[in-house]
Amino acid sequence: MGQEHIPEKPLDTTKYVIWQGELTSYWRIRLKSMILAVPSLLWLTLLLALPCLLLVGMAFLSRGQYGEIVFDPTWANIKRLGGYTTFGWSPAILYIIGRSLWMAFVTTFLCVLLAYPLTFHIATRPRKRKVYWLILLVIPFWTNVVVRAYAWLLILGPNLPPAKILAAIGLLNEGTPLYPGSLAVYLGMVSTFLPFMALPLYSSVDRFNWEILEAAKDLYGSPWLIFTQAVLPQTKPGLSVGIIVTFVPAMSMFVVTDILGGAKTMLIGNVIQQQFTQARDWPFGAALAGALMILTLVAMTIFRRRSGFDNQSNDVYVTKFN
Amino acid sequence: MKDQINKGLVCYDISKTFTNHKALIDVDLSVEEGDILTILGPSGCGKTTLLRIIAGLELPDKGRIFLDSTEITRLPASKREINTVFQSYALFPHLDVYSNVSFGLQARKTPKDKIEKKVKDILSLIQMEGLEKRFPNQLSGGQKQRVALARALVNEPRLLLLDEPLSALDAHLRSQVQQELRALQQKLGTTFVLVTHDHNETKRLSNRLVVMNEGEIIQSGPTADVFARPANKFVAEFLGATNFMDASKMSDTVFDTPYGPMDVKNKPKWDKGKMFVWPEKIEIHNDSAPAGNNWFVGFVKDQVFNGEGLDLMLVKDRENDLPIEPLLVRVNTRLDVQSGQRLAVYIPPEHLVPLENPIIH
Repeated sequence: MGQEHIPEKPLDTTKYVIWQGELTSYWRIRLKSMILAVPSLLWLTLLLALPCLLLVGMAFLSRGQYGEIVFDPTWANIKRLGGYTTFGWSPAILYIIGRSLWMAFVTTFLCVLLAYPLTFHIATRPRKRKVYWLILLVIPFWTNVVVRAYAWLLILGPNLPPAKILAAIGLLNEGTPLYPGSLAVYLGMVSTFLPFMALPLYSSVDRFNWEILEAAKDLYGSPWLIFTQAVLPQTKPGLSVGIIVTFVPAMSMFVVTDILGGAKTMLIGNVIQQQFTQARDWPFGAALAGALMILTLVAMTIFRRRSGFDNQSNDVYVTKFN
Repeated sequence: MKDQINKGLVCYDISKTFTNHKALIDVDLSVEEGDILTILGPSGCGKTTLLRIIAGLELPDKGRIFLDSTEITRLPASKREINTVFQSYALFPHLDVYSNVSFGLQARKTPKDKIEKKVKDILSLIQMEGLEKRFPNQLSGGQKQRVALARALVNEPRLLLLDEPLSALDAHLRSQVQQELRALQQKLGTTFVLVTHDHNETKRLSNRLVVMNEGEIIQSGPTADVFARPANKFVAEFLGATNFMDASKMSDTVFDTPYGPMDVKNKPKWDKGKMFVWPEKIEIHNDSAPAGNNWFVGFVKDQVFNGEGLDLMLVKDRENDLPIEPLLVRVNTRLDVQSGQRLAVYIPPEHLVPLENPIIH
């Protein structure tokens, strides 16, 4: 075999690099990462990008007499989004979109309000206890949303303590359940989305630097100052993720509102579902779904810009070296 | 005592127990206005807990705290005119130097022009002008330390607490900051309470010293007094002492030791006990030892270069069969010695320090 020849020319370090303990070229690294990205790219193109394009395209087609899709390009569905129907202008759709936004906003806000004390409670438990609490937080994921919504129906029923106590105080008529209504809907919504908010927030709270909070106290900080200057900056990464993963699905939620709202509180999720099922108007359903998607993307972009979510790494130490 | 106006801090009978761990046991502490007091002790001795109780970040199980004769035991940290320099500095990472330093003033709703002036003054005092817009992650360790100091001092607290403030700095920077800190304290006259486990820091900074161990105060007093008369071996060792020797009384000023009879200036109260000598106070000579007290012949067992001079380990016998540890001698002059070399050793009577407590620790 003999000794290997050692090249006399020095290695071109603009092309070659030691990566993960192996001598390789930048070109090879790029090829490798491309090959590894193919399956997920394929998946996303076929099952996300393509359906989205189809959806948007469908929004410009017409509904046939029997609910079939007719290839007849029209602006009618887009106009209907703005409230212009064949029978004149009606604010119904705009009203429903506004209500959906409001509901998602209130749900997110309530989840933030509950998640802070909850995550701080968990994070300050001894190590073993933390695991129990986290399991309790994840257990709801094991059951379907529909099942959980029906569970609330049982809890809020006329013969169980919540309704009975309210009836005894005189806030409720005897034998009336606590549903349908906004109380039941918000109970269902918050219980559905609390884990979505709490888990990302917990990841930030678990690494909380208490000395910063003590410094704020030591420097005469009021509770508000302590929260905005010591708690919020440290928990912002988790909070931002929590807000996004709560707000987006809350926007399009219809199962919980249907069951606990008694189909009275119509939301955009309900309307879309109706268009695709009972109304059999797929083009208008597509227009609604597309509008919801764009609306959500716009809302999230604004949120990301305003909260500085884009330019913060996982630790709070933002580099702003000029 | 409580009726009298005492300027400064007084802690009576402070105890604190964490689950199964007694952090502080009946601690009494008093600091007069303008003093620099250091609390010295090994890690886990309760010194940081004591500091946190004074700051108001921890509630004692028992005991009372007075600041300028006003009880503050139950006053929350945000209401105490005491500020803290935290061990890791705890600067607000999302705020620049200016906002960090002005935090306390803004929290107390100081007028804006006043804040600007005070921050400017304190930043020039700590030589950080022009760095107002920097964020903590753009500062070096020494700069962070100074910002933390400025952030506390700008509030003009009646008492400043420092939790191992120099432990995160390298040796060179540490001695520089020690001098700055001392100068700053003399300029402002603020009372400092400093927690440390470094006896050099204690010696350079403080005029009052408290030595703690396992939740109790072992010895307290003026720093020079404690260094001159350590209560027991634990204190002496913690102050950096070595070279302990058993001593027994021969006459009023002469004590018998394993190194021969020694004249003593610092007369102990006991007849039999322990003495020690600081390694840098021992004199060595190349010629043979004159017969007499405090002189003996030693042999070089080992030598280590300590950065400035030599650390010599001396034994009295070439075979070292005496049941005593070798004597550590620190010489700062250049010296050429070989292992096994014979040297004349002189222990000056004024540097032979008796331990107060005769009980062998």
